This record gives sequence, structure tokens and C-alpha cells, in this order.
Amino acid sequence: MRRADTISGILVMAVAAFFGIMALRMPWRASQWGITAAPGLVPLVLATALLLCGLVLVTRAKTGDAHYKRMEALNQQAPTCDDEAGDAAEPESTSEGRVLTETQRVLLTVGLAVAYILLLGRIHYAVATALYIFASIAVFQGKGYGKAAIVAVVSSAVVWFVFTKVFFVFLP
Amino acid sequence: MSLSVFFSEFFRLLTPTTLFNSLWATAFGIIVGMLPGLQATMGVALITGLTFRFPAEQVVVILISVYVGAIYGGSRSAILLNIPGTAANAATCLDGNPLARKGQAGYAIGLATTASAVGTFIGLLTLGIVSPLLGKIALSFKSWEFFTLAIFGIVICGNLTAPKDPLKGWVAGLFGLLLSQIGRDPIHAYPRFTFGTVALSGGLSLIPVLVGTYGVSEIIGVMKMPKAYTVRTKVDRVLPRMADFVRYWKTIIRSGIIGVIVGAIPGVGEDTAAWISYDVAKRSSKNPDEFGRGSYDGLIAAETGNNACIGGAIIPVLTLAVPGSAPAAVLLAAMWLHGIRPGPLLPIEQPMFIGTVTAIFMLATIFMAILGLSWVRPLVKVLQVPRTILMPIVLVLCTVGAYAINGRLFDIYLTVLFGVIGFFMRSNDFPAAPLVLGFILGPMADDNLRRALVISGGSLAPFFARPICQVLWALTLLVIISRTPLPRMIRNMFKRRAEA
Repeated sequence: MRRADTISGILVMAVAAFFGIMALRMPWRASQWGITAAPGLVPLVLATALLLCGLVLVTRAKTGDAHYKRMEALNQQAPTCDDEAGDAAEPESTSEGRVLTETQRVLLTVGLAVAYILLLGRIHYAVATALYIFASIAVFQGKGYGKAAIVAVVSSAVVWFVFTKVFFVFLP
Repeated sequence: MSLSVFFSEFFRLLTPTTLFNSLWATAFGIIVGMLPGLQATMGVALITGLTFRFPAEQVVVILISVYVGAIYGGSRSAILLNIPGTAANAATCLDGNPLARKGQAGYAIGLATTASAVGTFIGLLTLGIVSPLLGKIALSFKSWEFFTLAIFGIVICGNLTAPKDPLKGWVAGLFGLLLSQIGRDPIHAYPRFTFGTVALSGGLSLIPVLVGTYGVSEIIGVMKMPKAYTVRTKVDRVLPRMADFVRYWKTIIRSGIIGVIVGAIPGVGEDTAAWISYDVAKRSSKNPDEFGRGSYDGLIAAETGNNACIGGAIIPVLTLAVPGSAPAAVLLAAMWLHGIRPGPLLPIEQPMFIGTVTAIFMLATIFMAILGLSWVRPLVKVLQVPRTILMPIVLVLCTVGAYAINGRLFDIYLTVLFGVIGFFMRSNDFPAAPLVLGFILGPMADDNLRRALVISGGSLAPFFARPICQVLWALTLLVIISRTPLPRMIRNMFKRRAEA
């Protein structure tokens, strides 16, 4: 938790510094109203506030023992439903095939999504969509490629037909 | 709003097109809500893009129906799977699932449906009564008040959506405010943070930001879990007994009021309303030990509170153009997209609109109750679709929704980028709601602060001299101070003195 807060705090400070520096480089006396109407005024104020929050986050991660003890106590007291793996949840290997670690699953999900959006506009929409859906099902299930192919083709065709012919929506 | 306006609007809406749109949208909302990982906000944002070509009034009908359906729909998976379909139904798990384990799954669903319908009804009643009154007060809002309101909104939203660590809520809010500054500034048209790119000169579009933060991040979150869910519970009697409702009338009224009040606070959504309603019901109960073990009282409190919140969240949307919750933020954006201008001038420009919205709510509530009580077994089948099949299709729909409005591939890239940002935030306990609220309120804060300073010749005095500003600043300071170690230090000091 502390390490995560330190990293988050540093990231927040970096983002704030970036916006702050960019705001300072904007014209400050371009109009008759001076700095009060300058385009960089609000971004600078916000970036300063964000920088302070980031600083507090990092400082607290380094020195705030009491805070983290209180957080731990609160986490233990809080009523929760087990939303990540309720009693109805079961290991995916028994129901959906391949077992992957959490990090692998996140990277695969993001990677497949990025590959899909990069394909959009380069090949026909329905083909890109079918490829993406098939790849996702195949990668995460690790079996049933025939079924995955049918689901991919049917769902991409349905999406293409419904949105272009029924909703008259533009597709990439 | 008089009753005659409400009834005239309600009967005017009873056309086949409106009824059909409200029916399918409510059903869609229930399905989105009940599928773990798909939030109400994502459902509403997705539909906003997909219905872009529809007439404005039908879009409002569809969006409100999806909103009402989704907040209710999450109770289904909370009861059957012990996994809340949306964040708003997390409190529902505590008593809904134990009831299902006792063999009363159908009855718990029936109770949740009826409580949700009553909650939504309380919300729409308050919306109809309070909005015109608040609208009159809102007319006295000038630049100073709007800026102070934006700051107050971010502070209180950050505080309530991250109750354990409000600092992270405030960081998310400030980040949202900063992101809203991207694009041409409204006074000089100076391009801010655009790096010379045309795609950024109009600023970041709200729908891709919302669909990414709430939709794509949820998809990543769901796919991350190495476990899959299965429905094992059998569904029995669904229709609740009247006696059970009469017995808990105090809980219903109290939770309804709590839901509406929490909803009206900027950015604070249905999840907070459900938790507060649940907590207050437990404290007020003669049998608090039953809570968490299958208490009807607890289930009714959570479901009444979250659905009543919807009406509350729409009140500031209509009167101040400030969203009360994340799905309400999308509703606000959709209204702007379709040429409806919510805010203080709405009762003057479109005097019947509040009545129309209230009537649409009524229609959605009726459909929600009918579908909720009659479609129990077919809807359970939806939960049995494996997530490895469902989630890629949902991502495809997210990209369609993001692309449909402006027809730019850039918006699709933005959606996935915000999905990753949203996932990083979730993983590190930064709430998404303040980011979205900040993003919505950013232009309002920027425009009004600079305009106010120009009017007052650079003086900050009016920000602290005007009565509404004074109240808002006092509340903002109170919220911030209450979350610092200062109150604890004062308490400890008094304790030590008393002991001495």
C-alpha cells in the first residue's frame, strides 16, 4: 500500500508539474484584463493544488504510520461482500480453460484491445471485430476454437448490421 | 411542478414509440446492471453514442430507462452471486445473498424489485417537487457562485467517494479538472495542452472519457480475475408479501429520503446512498444482529436508497447543470449533445421539461417493476454467459459508442487510454467519480473564475462576500478540516484534560 502510494504520489506530482510548466508558458498578459483572464490561470492553480496533494501522498507514505494503521483497521471493520470471488466463484480452469496470472490477464486484455483499435480503419470493421473477438476467446479459454470462431463471426456480423442498418451509426 | 403538468406529460408520452423505447432500454439497463463489471455509467454512456441519431426526447426516454434499469439490475447478481452488478448494489449483497443461501433467492429478488420501484418513485416525486424550487434559487447564481459550487462539488465528491482516504478522491477530482482544460480556452480561444494537434483542439470528448473510465477499466478489472462465477441458486417465489413491506415502511421512507439527499450532492452516486441507507437502517433497527445474515430490512434499505438516489442526482442536473452522480453526468452530456440546455434557465426556456423528465421516470419505474418481477428466470440465463465471450463483445460496443458521436478514431484511442488510466486508479484506490465530475465541472470553474475576476477587476472579495458563496466555502472548509488530524487532536486534548 505504502509503495503504491509513493509511486502514485510521484506520478501525480509529475503530471501536476507538467501541466503547471505548460500553463506558465502560456501568454499571461495577452489581453486588456491582464492575468485575471489569462488562459493559464486556472490550469496553474489546479496544477499547484494537485502538486500539493501529490506531495502529501508521498510524505504520508514515508512518515504516516498512524494513517496506514487506521486504514488497516478500517479495512478489517468494513462490511464487504466478496466481490472478487464470491461463494459462487470457482477457479477458471474448471469452467473456462487456461489458468493465467492476474498480471498476464491484464496485459493480454490491454494488448488485445490495443491491437484491435489499431486494426480499425485499416481493414474492414467486421473483419477486425471478428478477429479481435476470436483472439480474445481463444487466448483466455485456451480451447473450443471452433465455437470461438462461430461466436466471433456471428457477433461481429450482428454488431455491424445493427449499427449500420438499424441505428444508422458510423463505424470505423 | 403541478400535478397537471406531470399527468399531461405522462399521458403525452404514452405513444407506441416511447413505450417501446422505454421497454427495451429498461431491459437493456437491467441486463447491463446485472452483469458484473458493467456499470450503470457505462450502459448510459454506451447508449448515448448508439442513439446519437434519435430525436432528443426519445434519447432522454432511453437514457433514463437505462439508468433506472441498471441501478436496479445490479441487485440480481448481488443476490444470486454475491457479486454486485454495479457499485450501487454492493450493500445489497450483505443481506441479499444470505437470503438466497437460505433458499429465498426469488423472494429476495422480489423484495429488491419492489424496494427499487418504491425508491425510484420517491426520487421522481422529489425531483418533480424540488427541482422547480431549486431552479428559482439557481437563478440567483452568478459566476462567483458557480465557481464556488464547482470547488464544493469536487471536495465533497472526493470526500464521500473515497471515505477511507479522501485525499485520493481530491487528487482524482483535480486530475479531472485539469484534463478538462485541454483544448481551446473559452475567452481567448488559446489552444491549451494541444501540442499543435487538431484532435486535441476541441478538448477531450466526454463520452470516450466516461466509456473508458467506467467501461474499459471494468472490462480489464473483470478479465483480471482468475476466477469465474456460476449461478447455483434456485429461484422460488418472487412476489413479495404486502405485510413485509408495511412492516418496514419506516426504513423505506428513511432510505428514500437519504437516497434523494445523497443523490443531490454533486458527483456522489448510488453506491454511497445505498451504504448510508444500509448503515442508518442497521443503527435504527431493533434487531441489528440480523443485518448481514439475510435481513429483509437491510435489503430493502440498500435497494430503496440506491434507486431513490437517481431522482436526487437528476435534480442538480436540471437546475444547475451539475451532475449528482456519474450516470447523471452522462445524461447531462447527452442533453447538451441534443440541444437541451439544463441549468437555471431551463424552466424559462423549456417550462415543461422537468415534467417530461418526471413522467419518463414514472414510465421507466413501471417497466422496471414489470420486467423485474416477471423476467426472473430468463434473466438468470444471461448471467450464465461466460465472461470470456461477453467482455470482448462489450469492448467492441464501447468502441462503437465512443466513435459514433464524432466519427473519429482518436476517440476510440482515447477510450482505451482512459480504460487503462481508470484501471490504474481503481487498483490504487483512487475513485473514478471525482475525475468525471471534475471533467464536467472544469469548463464551468474555468470560465466562471476568470469571468468573475474580470467583472470584479481582479478582486477576490466577492467570492467571500456573497451569501451563497459563504455557505459553500464554509461547507467546503468543514469537509476538508473534518478529514485532517485536527478534529482528532482536539478530541484527544479535551479527553486528556477531562482525565486530568
